[in-house]
Amino acid sequence: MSERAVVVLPMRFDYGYHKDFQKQCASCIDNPVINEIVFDFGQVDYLDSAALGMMMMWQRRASAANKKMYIKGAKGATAQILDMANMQRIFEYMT
Amino acid sequence: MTELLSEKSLTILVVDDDQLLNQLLCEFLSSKGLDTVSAYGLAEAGQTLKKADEIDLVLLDYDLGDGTGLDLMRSLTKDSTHSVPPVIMISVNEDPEFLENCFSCGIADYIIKPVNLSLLALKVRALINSVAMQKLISLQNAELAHFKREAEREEAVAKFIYEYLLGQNSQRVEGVETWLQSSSSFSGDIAMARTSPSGDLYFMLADATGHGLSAAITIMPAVSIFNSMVAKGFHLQPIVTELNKKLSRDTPPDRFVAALIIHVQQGTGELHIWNGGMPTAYWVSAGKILQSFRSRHMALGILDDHQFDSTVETFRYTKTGFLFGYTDGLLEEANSMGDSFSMRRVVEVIESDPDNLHDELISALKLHTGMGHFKDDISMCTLTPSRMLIGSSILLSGQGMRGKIAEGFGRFSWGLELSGRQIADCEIPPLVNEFLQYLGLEKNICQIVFLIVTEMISNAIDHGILRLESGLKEKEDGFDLYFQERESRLHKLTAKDVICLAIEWNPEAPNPDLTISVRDTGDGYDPGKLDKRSDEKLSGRGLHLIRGLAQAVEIIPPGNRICAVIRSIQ
Repeated sequence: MSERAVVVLPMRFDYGYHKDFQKQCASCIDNPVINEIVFDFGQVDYLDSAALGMMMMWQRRASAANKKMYIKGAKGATAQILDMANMQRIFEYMT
Repeated sequence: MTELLSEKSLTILVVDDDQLLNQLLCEFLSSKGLDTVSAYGLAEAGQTLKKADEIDLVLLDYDLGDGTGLDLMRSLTKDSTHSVPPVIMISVNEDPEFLENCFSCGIADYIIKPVNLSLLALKVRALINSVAMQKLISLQNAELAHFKREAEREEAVAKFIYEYLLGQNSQRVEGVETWLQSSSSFSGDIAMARTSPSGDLYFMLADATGHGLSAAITIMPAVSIFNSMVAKGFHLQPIVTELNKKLSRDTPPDRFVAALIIHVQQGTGELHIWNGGMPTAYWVSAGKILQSFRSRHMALGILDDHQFDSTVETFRYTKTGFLFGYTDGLLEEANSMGDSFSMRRVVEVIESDPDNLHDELISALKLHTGMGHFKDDISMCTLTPSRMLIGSSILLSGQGMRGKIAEGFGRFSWGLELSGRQIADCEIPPLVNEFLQYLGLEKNICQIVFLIVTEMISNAIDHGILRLESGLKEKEDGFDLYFQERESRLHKLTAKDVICLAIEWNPEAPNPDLTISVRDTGDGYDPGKLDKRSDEKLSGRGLHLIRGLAQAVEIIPPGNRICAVIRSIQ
């Protein structure tokens, strides 16, 4: 059985969110039932490089635990930033 | 008495000329765990206070045989070099005016005779507590001030070292303009210009995660690698690969460096660009964006070696125009409505074709945010090749370039042979450069040899082994096609493809000479055909450059071996 977990990101996704983000990512990765983790960017209208860094760090841990991470619902400036960072190279996009 | 007192016993000076009362007070205070010292007159009290630093509180009787308590107070406040302990005055006088007088002389509290001992104990306790608290506060203040000074000193030293490192590694180059503003005393952005041994410009605009000291630390490894690899003559691809490798290894996974790295190759009029995680850079001429270089890669320090893509974009630039690049700080500065400056506004300013693009963008940004201070580090750069007096153009502009090999420099020969995939992976010119520098040959000679070897090797690989037609570049879209084809043919190299380089210094010859020869396993090309090309055509420039630098050049039929001779200035 495999399950998908969704991490809904806040409007302002920056270092200020790192504790929450860490908690959610860690619980998804520690949970053996979950093997797909989706970052829901639907509400995000600001993200900074620290946020990209956190995503990168957790992507590394996820792939070490054989779990996949997805990006979903990014739009406007947020989509542009993700694009500029070429996040599609290590995250799959989900529509 | 309290926690504060338990750490260290406190000492109270009892000043009273009445021996019995003095003794009584001392005994009472001792019973409360306090140390006491007695003084029986004004003079004695003054002396005790001068001698002993460790008096924490004074019980002072007003009527002393040789003066009054107030006399003591006045002398204490007048010539005190160290802090005066708090004083509790003891007197029979209850007159308000008198009390006021006492307080204005600086006493801390007052007790009426006959002394109520339990009241005295309470007052002593309260005063001692407040004194202890004050001492603690001033101690902490001193510590805080000390830490602050230390931190400021550390920061100043770190800033100096950081800026020194940047200064040591960057060059001021005509035609390269940068604008940097950091949001704190350390910048997570850097702009570095450096010329290679062939005289080409290499430029890096980089932006590390976050800002301040942590960002500056992340970026530091990149600085020296970029500098030393450019100085050694490496191409863009191995430089970005090495930067990525080093940053992946040495920085934590959530730290990385977005970078725009550019090689301006004046000899061929080409711009090579690697953009990883930076905003789109533009080639601009007369207010028109002729080419965009968007971020095609992830930032440096994220991907492993096998995932990392060092593919470089190549663009043949127009005679006039400049390359404009910037960090995302510019895009992300927002106004009070949370509306960020955005790419649209950047493009608008570019297209208004201002005299000074950097100034214009900054004033547009200030107008947008309504603030003079920015949240993130902001950097911009403009590279204008037509203003750069560097590269092969400078070497060929004057009488050409000559070097000298000292008389008595012993004979040497050096060479290598590569086959198959190694031809693509191994950068030969930097190796040559390193070897010649190691031997201690003069800088001009090293540079001439480097340029000649670079051109010979690139001809031998592209037109010899890979059999690429240089005419391809002249066609429409031929440029991209050429580089795509080159990449794909490089992947198909086999053991049958061989390239050979030999360098020999022959001091015994009547005219001592340095011979450089390169041979490849290609079919050879017709030099006559190449010679007929006009100099305006770019493809023949390699050979033209070699001819300009060497005293003799020979292409040996069928055209897969080339030999150049350099003579030392006598």
